[in-house]
Amino acid sequence: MTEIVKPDSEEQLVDLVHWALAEKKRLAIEGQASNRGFAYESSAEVTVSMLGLHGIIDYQPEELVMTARAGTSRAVIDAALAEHRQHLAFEPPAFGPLDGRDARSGSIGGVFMANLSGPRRFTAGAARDHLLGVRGVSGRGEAWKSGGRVIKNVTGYDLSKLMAGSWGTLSALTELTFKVLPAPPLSASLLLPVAKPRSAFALMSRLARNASQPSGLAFLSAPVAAKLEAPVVASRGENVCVARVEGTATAVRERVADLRRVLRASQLLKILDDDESRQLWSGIRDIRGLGACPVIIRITLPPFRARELVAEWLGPGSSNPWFADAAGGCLWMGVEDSAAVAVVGRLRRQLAGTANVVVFRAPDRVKRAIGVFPVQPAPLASLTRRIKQSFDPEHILNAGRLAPL
Amino acid sequence: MLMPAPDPRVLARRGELTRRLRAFLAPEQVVEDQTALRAYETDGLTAYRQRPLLVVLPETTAQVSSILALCTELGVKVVPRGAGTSLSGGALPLADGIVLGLGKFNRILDVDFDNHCVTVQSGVTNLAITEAVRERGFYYAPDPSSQIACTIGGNVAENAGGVHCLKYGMTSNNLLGLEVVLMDGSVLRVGGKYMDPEGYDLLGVLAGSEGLLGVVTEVTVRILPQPQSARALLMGFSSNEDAGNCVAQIIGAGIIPAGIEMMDQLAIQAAEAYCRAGYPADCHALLIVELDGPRAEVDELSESVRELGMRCNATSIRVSATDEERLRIWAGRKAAFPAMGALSPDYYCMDGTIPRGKLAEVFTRMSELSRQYGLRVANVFHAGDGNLHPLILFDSNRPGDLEKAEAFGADILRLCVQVGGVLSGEHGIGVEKRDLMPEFFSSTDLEQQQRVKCAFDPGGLLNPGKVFPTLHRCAELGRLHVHHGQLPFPHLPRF
Ligand SMILES: Cc1cc2nc3c(=O)[nH]c(=O)nc-3n(C[C@H](O)[C@H](O)[C@H](O)COP(=O)(O)OP(=O)(O)OC[C@H]3O[C@@H](n4cnc5c(N)ncnc54)[C@H](O)[C@@H]3O)c2cc1C
Repeated sequence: MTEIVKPDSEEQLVDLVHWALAEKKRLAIEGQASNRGFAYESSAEVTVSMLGLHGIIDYQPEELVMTARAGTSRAVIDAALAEHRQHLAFEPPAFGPLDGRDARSGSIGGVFMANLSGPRRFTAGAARDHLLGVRGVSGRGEAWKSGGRVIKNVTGYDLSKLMAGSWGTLSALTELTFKVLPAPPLSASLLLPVAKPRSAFALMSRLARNASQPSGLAFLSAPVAAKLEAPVVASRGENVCVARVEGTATAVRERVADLRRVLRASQLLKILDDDESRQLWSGIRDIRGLGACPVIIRITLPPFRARELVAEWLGPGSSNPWFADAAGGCLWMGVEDSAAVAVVGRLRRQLAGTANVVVFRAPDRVKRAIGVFPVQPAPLASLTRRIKQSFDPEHILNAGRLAPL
Repeated sequence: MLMPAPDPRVLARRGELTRRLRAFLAPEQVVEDQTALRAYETDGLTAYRQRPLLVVLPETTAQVSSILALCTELGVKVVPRGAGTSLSGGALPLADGIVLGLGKFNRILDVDFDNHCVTVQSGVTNLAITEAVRERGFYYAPDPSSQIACTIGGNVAENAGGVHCLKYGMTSNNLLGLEVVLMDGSVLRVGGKYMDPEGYDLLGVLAGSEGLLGVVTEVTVRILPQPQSARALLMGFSSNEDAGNCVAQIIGAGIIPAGIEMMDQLAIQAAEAYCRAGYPADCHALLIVELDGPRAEVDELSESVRELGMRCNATSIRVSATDEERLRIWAGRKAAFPAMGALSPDYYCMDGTIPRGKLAEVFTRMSELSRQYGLRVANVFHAGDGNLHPLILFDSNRPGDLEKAEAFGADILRLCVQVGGVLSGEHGIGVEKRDLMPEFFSSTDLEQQQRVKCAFDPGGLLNPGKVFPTLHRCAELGRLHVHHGQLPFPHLPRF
């Protein structure tokens, strides 16, 4: 058991890092630990809970900007935004339920440190695109800031982006400023039967270009569809494509019509109303269709590369449950524990330099055997090391979290 | 403006450098003639001039790599340059440094409609990307007014914006991949044709790094389908307050227009004089609000915006019925910079961002400053994202006017920071705002940024003298100051 400390000010956090530097102790930085299952377990002696730094500092809906302390719970943020009919447009997923945690768990610091984004990713951008400014304490024990409280800013390097997806390995963030946007009042989804998965990618590419500007395009293989808690989809027992449109009532009506115009009648199974649509997409967002899989792989790649891959890997005879999100730019796949090492190895060789193959969830043994992340080419790896060094020369922050020690 | 003192040892090595460059480059790729060098003396910030040691014009990434490795070996500084339209002096040469011109990197490498992305060499212009994909109904979203001339490499370096940033983002939000050469000659590929690449977000730090971290040779951007329809509303107001309030009302109503631009009285007059834009004559402020998307939705939103305009005391409202009308509404705004020529021999274009809610306050204080300095200021404003472009009118033939204009500009930027904004929205810091950085950042903040610079360029040879007011050696920045014997913090709650 590691010791847990909970600073309640930036000054305390600075003191804490200085203490760790002097005592040569390593620190694990944690919010609500909703993503603890991701990457490697930190090998730190002391866990720093960021939950003592909580609360919304500033929220002006008409400025489309919110500033909150890192430990503020997502539930608090979401509730404040909902009051003004706004939201985080990148649809941060909640993977908590995969581990039996609460669906709404997670702190805002964790949301951005993980840079995980949901189905709207291909149109609205990722978490990193919404992060405008940060304050934090580096592994040098220095409090620093970057960015600002405005949407457009080229004042110094954009170190906020460097923080997004850094999983707490560069600095412990204390405060984050991010862009918030009006939440579309309504949505609807079209359910399209797709016999051959391969053809789904061309269909999604075509629909992504449609005047209706879909904000969600996914392909669900039959086993994944069956596991979603959206009855209409789950009960069909076949492969489906889903296209989501959002907006005001007028907009949704028109967008649905725009989509139907380019589809044959036989291509449309059903139109899901707002409730059904929301339920379905939250399941897609939180990868609930892969819930029971011991090993889950995420591949981001060009959609048409996915098409080739799918023909080869996931064609007839393959039993791996999988689905494609973000108009085909993101594949999620469940694999057997025993096959994982071979599958990931082959995928990485085949896609080297053209995709990012991440072992999203797996027993520690599998992670260590194959690596959660692909190996970076030498020049990139050494630059990465130098960047880490520039923030955390003694490697005390989240040691071992992204690369096993 | 104080630039780092030229290193006499480097100046003395000009001959050796030229000879070694010529060993692997064609004669016309190494420019040493003083008259030819003059063309590179300045960029869009013409108040500053400096003839470079040499200009080198590589054609391939391998050449860029060899040039940078050679410069590292000889301790020669390097200033990357795209089209030289920077308004912050980012491409200002150094007496003891080469200018690395990317003009020959002008090929479009891959137009991929299936995957909605385009890969180009970094010297390709911003507009050329849209032109390459237009016939299939796509476009590249960031659209700086300089888009005919400026390069995509320069856009990456400045994280360039345009009038559509609120809805479609700046350069960094539309970037998928880069090929970058570091000062030691190593070539990196960051990202590609896919989302969420592995590792730290290097695309994010490279965008807006003002040519200080690496030389961009190749860029992959995403392209978007053109919206089905677009409409512009032209609304006149009798005060800046009313116009500013209307912007807040529109966004507060949950509408994100493709663009919201504001012009003040002087900018309106200039546009009228320059191109007969047909703007309402008697108003104090104008808003142009563009909505795009599916047709019925655009109609619905235009109507909502029109109603909001009326509620905010608009003195006139015009809604475009055709695309020609829409473009005519934009014409005056697009000509705002050249139109200043009709009012004044010179103008100085500033760039800062403020929280939108502070608009009225900032305009009032700017008028006070204008009186104090005795110089007129016109304002065009990317109102949707709070990005101000005050245009200070002056006459460089009048002694002291330029200095006054610069001092006025600096005061405006300080004002931006005071109300919670920042020093630059899209033009970058460069040399222009370098010495104002401490207004916004603490020395700790700046040191951490410089440590990141050290990770990319430990010798400090790439575009030094820009962005950071004080230069530090990397070794000195890396030193760790540990306070031994403090704590163990009994005041901290433990579990
Ligand atoms: C009339 C006018 C209107 C403008 N309107 C806008 C506008 O609406 N929005 C906006 O954002 N900007 C605008 N600008 C500013 C300018 O056009 C942009 O900053 C543009 O991105 C600069 O591109 P460039 O190719 O001219 O770069 P340059 O001016 O050549 O260089 C700019 C900076 O980028 C670096 N750089 C250039 N190429 C590379 C490369 N390949 N690798 C690494 N570093 C590189 C240089 O060292 C320098 O620091 C305007 C400028 C003018 C003159």
